[in-house]
Amino acid sequence: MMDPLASSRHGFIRTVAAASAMLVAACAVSLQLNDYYLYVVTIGAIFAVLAVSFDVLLGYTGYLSLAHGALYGLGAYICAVLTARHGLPFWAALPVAGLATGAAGALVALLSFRTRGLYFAVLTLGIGLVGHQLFLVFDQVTGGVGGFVGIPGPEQPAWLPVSPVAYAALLALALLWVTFVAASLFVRSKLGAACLAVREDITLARALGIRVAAARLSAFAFSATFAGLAGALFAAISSFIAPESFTVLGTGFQLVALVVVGGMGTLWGPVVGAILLTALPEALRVASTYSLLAYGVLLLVCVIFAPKGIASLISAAVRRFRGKSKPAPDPARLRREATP
Amino acid sequence: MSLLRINGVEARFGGVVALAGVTLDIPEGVIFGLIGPNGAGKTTLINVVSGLVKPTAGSITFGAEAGGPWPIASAVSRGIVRTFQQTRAFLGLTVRENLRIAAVSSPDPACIEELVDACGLAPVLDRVAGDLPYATLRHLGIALALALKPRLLLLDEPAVGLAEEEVERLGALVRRWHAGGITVLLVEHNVRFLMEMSDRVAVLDRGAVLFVGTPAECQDRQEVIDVYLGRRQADAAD
Ligand SMILES: Nc1ncnc2c1ncn2[C@@H]1O[C@H](COP(=O)(O)OP(=O)(O)OP(=O)(O)O)[C@@H](O)[C@H]1O
Ligand SMILES: [Mg+2]
Repeated sequence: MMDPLASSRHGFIRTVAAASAMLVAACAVSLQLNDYYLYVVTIGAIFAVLAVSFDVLLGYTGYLSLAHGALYGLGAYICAVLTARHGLPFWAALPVAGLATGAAGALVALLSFRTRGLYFAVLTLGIGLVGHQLFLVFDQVTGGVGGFVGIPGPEQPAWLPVSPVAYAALLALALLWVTFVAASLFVRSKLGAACLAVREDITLARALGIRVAAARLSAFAFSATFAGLAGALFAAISSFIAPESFTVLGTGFQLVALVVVGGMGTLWGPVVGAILLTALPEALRVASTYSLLAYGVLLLVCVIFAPKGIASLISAAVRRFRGKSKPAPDPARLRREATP
Repeated sequence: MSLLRINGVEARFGGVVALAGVTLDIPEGVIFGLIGPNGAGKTTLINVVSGLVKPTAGSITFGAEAGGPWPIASAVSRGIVRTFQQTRAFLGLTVRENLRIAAVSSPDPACIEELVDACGLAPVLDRVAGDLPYATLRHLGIALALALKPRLLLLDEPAVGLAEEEVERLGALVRRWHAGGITVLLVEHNVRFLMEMSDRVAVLDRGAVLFVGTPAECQDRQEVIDVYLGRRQADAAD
């Protein structure tokens, strides 16, 4: 008989292969773009990193956190301070920002221990608001409302002779690949299974010996780590950051929209959501007013016509296409039927 | 040698006394039946032993270890595993994902393959649990518990709502795992099923143990007939 638990290894290899192919294609296309569209790709990829990391928490573990925008900001400011004030190279500041933000995420998890659902969302709303205020108040460190100016860009290796703008886009795409692969590994791990259990039925999870607190903590820490990495990269390639990029009402809610529209609990759905909801309005921008309008309309259309996310539409279409083209016989079943 | 010893366990919810000092000895290696009318405290007793509800007084000893009841995670790691009266499985996930979760804290995930066969889950591995027929779902609920390789399995009305042949299949499953060395505490309203399955039976009424003995002794006792068996027959006559 087939191992009932084996499903994952093959699926994981396929996922990594598909993600790698997409990465190569996206890089190849990006190198043909002008600076404006390269910027759109960069921002889209960074938001996709945020969306994938957010999906581990919202989609797989079932916690709607509004503090994610603040964690993203924390990563950005840590990177800015370390590189601009302390002269650390970007490649050293990046992992520090990720790990420190991951630790902050774990702290949020501990603070919000025992709350769930709406209470949890409100609690993280508070944390997100406080975080944003701290960026404003500690202006000695952060530059306050005026922003943090003069963040050095990521050092570019000599063997990659592309423009700095193209380099930024390649880095953002690479970070997206790393995030996606790491998240795929996480959700397939024992911790990932524990997170699903927490999302579905916390009492049953406990009854089956799942360490609920550990699962929740790891999902938060994982999610926050990649939000921190996204923030750090954003800071380095923007050279300027300000608190308005890390608000609850802006980034915090936008992330919820990206993940819900893309399709929660799929990892790739949120990538689609990020492309559609950040990059597309930018790319189609005629005037910024219409961009916001387009954004709102897109949200409405998606939620009305694809309440389970665009990912569910795409997989249904793929299934229908496969079902018509080849009625694949299950080889295991044939074998079972052949043996007496 | 007793596996589980329950010493004067008391559980109150506000003014409601769900358990009023229960003392029971469950020997290692038996199927121990527990019956009692609605609200007698059977589920509460399982909740206490499995660590889901803290008793207001009393303690339990498991094997050689005193100092229980333990919090639910420690209870599971000691080998005390329970099922739920209202079937509980991860309804939004596939059967395979359900089993993957059970495998997380299983000391021997390889045993799940055998369970899948025994519980008739092989054909439905990729179905969402919420779409399964009721009987299959009940079996999944028990498979999740058995996947943890318990020493003591607490079954809260596993047969409720099942047709006769499904009850028989369930009985065969429980017997098979019992023969493999598991002690079972079986709470059940289906008296015939319970009497057939159990080596010993206890009757609980209004939070107190009324009687402990063999199934044959139990069926002869007037007070048991009065509080429970008689009431059941009267119910059936309605
Ligand atoms: N969490 C709780 N809060 C308040 N009261 C409770 C709680 N759990 C149980 N009770 C009360 O304790 C008493 C015993 O309930 P319990 O569920 O243990 O009975 P039972 O023997 O399992 O009944 P049934 O056969 O209907 O399942 C009931 O009066 C019930 O209302
Ligand atoms: Mg009950």
